[in-house]
Amino acid sequence: MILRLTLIIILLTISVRAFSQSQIQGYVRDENSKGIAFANVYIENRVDGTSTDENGHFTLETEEKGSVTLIASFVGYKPFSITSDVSKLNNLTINLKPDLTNLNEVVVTAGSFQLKGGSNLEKKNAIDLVTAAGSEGDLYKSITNLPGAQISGTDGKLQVRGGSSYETQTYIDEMHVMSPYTSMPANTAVRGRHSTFIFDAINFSTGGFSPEYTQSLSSVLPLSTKDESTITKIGASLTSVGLGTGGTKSWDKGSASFDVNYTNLEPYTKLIFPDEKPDWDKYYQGISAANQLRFKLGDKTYLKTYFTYDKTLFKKKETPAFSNIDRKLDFDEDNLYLNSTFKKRFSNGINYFAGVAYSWNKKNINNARVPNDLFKSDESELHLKTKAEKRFSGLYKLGVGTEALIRKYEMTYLDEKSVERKVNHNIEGLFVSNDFNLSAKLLLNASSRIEYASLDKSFALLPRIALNYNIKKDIVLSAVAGKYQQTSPNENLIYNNHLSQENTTQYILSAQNTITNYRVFRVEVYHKKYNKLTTIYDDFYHSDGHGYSQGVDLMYKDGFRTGNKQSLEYMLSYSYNDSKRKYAEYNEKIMPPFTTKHNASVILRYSNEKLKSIIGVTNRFASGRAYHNPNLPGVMNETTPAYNSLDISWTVLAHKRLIIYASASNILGRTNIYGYDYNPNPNTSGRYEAKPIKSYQNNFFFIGFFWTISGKVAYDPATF
Amino acid sequence: MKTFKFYLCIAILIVPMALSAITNTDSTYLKVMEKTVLKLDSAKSVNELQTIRNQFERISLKYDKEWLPLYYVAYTGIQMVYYSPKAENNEAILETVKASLDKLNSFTNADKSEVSTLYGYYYNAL
Repeated sequence: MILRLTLIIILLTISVRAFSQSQIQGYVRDENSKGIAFANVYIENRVDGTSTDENGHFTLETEEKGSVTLIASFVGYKPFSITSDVSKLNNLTINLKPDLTNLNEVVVTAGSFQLKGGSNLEKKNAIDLVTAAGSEGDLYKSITNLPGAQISGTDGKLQVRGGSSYETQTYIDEMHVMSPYTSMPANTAVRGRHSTFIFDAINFSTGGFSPEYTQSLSSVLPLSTKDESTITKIGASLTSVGLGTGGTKSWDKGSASFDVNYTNLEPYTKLIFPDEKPDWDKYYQGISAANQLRFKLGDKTYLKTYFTYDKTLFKKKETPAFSNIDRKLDFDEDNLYLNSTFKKRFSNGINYFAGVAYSWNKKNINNARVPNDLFKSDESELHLKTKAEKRFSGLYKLGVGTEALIRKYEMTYLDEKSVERKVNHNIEGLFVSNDFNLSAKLLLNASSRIEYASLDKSFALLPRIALNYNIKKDIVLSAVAGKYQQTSPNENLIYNNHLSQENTTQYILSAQNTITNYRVFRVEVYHKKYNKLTTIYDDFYHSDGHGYSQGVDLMYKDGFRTGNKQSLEYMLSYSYNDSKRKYAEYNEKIMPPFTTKHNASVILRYSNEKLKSIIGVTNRFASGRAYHNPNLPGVMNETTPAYNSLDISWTVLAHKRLIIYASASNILGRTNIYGYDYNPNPNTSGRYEAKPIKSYQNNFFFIGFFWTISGKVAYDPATF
Repeated sequence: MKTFKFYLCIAILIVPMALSAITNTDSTYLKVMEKTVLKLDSAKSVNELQTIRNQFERISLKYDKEWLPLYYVAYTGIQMVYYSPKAENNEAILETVKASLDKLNSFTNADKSEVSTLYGYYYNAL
């Protein structure tokens, strides 16, 4: 009996083993009906599955009987599953659908550049950015090399697509920066107040940006600092214009960084431009201190505080073009920027952000316009912002936010009589952003902002719509239409505090072909319509100016190896701009003096690991600027000669702790002319005499040693 | 008595079978892990790595209390990115790596230092 039972059991098990193998064959393909190679195919809860072959075919052998669940999965696709009797699973064709959650953060490519971090494609570190010749180690100058940016005027500020420099605004960690540039004497290029090296991601939008950013008619420059800095280090720098030191202390739940820089142009000016000596009573000097504290309060929860203060002093002789009355311009400026931001990603997928920023600037200028006068100004801005974002499904993402800008400006001018003016105003906004992933290839962003301006007590609706379409993996088409507004500068508001918000409507079409990681071609066409620009006539400020700006930006970049451990990268860009506006004191539409029709640049970057060197050559060209010649009929009736500057730079990675950077701008010594000053009184033959407006110094030479004293990092000029 | 003997026999027969079934799961787990890790050691191409990754993924789904299969899912993902740093779907792979690593963090029996090392590799691969 027992024996019989055992036998039966043994026989049963054997028979099950012997006849259980069955085969499932099939084909796994993607949305374009192309086979997916190496997809994972298996029966649920079994380890012995298989992978598809190079063409997407698979054969799965299984011992399972009856109803089973077959699963096919591949990275970037939604898993497919089918439950059925094993015997019926044969000659399967499985269509995998792209997993749209993988496209979470599709960026609208029109009008945007990601220079550092942010995206895997355009990962550049600070060294890449500043080793381009012509950048002079300055963030804004290196951005001027990009298509869409125009050759700056004598002040060196960033101008984009036919807009003035005031139309480009800077944001640090999503918070507005009121005065991003240092102050310089007339016709001398300014620099950014914030060091390029402290930023983890640098984005540059030439237009059509998200309504999260406002109070900018042309362009925004969102910069972000690191959330975590895990390396403790100290660095120091010695340059031809000053010295600096800084470092980071990192601990378990946070880090603190500081940076102090002292600039003094005395040795540099005395050596290179000895003729200027009589002009300077006090050479240009500046001291700046920056500090950042970062706390990791929990999982994906960060609190950061960034603080900078800088002071600028100089005293220089200024002589107006047609006058023999000199004055000693005595300049003294204090500038402070403080921001504090909080970020948290909740477990339910909500990204929350809150921030406060305070900008403050105080100027005290003696002999500002005429001898023995005094100009004083005190300007501040408080920016409050909060926003939340959540992706509800693979198809939809919502973002909502609100912010306030509270601005104050006060100025005093003391001459024979004194003038005191002030203006206080505020701007409040609410924005909503909707992202629709209509398909794996098509993204739609529809967003809007409602903004209240206390000056003219107006509400404005500022919509923006953007489409991104991936024709193929490497070709992206983009279209954006949006409306933006900006308050007239405080210098105008003190004369009329009921000025309307200036506004623009922008239309952008763009196509980008990413041929390889290095080879990218991009073309963008844009049209902007300006309205309610500030005008001056009848001795009063009005808001009835208008105009347009349109053009094309082209960019091609590529790189290749030129030998063992040697490579050459280059970028060619060309921008055409046609811009006319009725604004300021012009009573008809003119080409604004800050724009140039043709802008072209060639940037070469050669690196050689054997020589431990990166050599950069940049040539920038721009056609002439419009200027007004009172000897001829009409307004803005002539154009200056073309602008050209050839810049070189040499970076030596002398030691893994020492970087030496040297650069020279405008090495051909060309005298670029930005316009002409005319004598207000005609000479004896009835003609008005002209003097060209030039840069105060034609060239700029820079040499810097960046030394990492401690820390485990190589070739890192950043102290943050 | 006869019935008692019968039950006893059944018990004698069944208990070892059941026991062997239990130890069997363990040994199949170990065996399949051993086999796959060996394959990983000799893998020379992204395609091989993908196949091996698929295997680890299947193991991790079945033995979801074990941390090692998930660890290897993450590890092979990172290896794939290192092998072909310019592949199109690297971003998607790294996203799955991040998901595995985050899950590993919640395993109490996982070797924390190994997981941290993988995090390091992950950030390096980004």
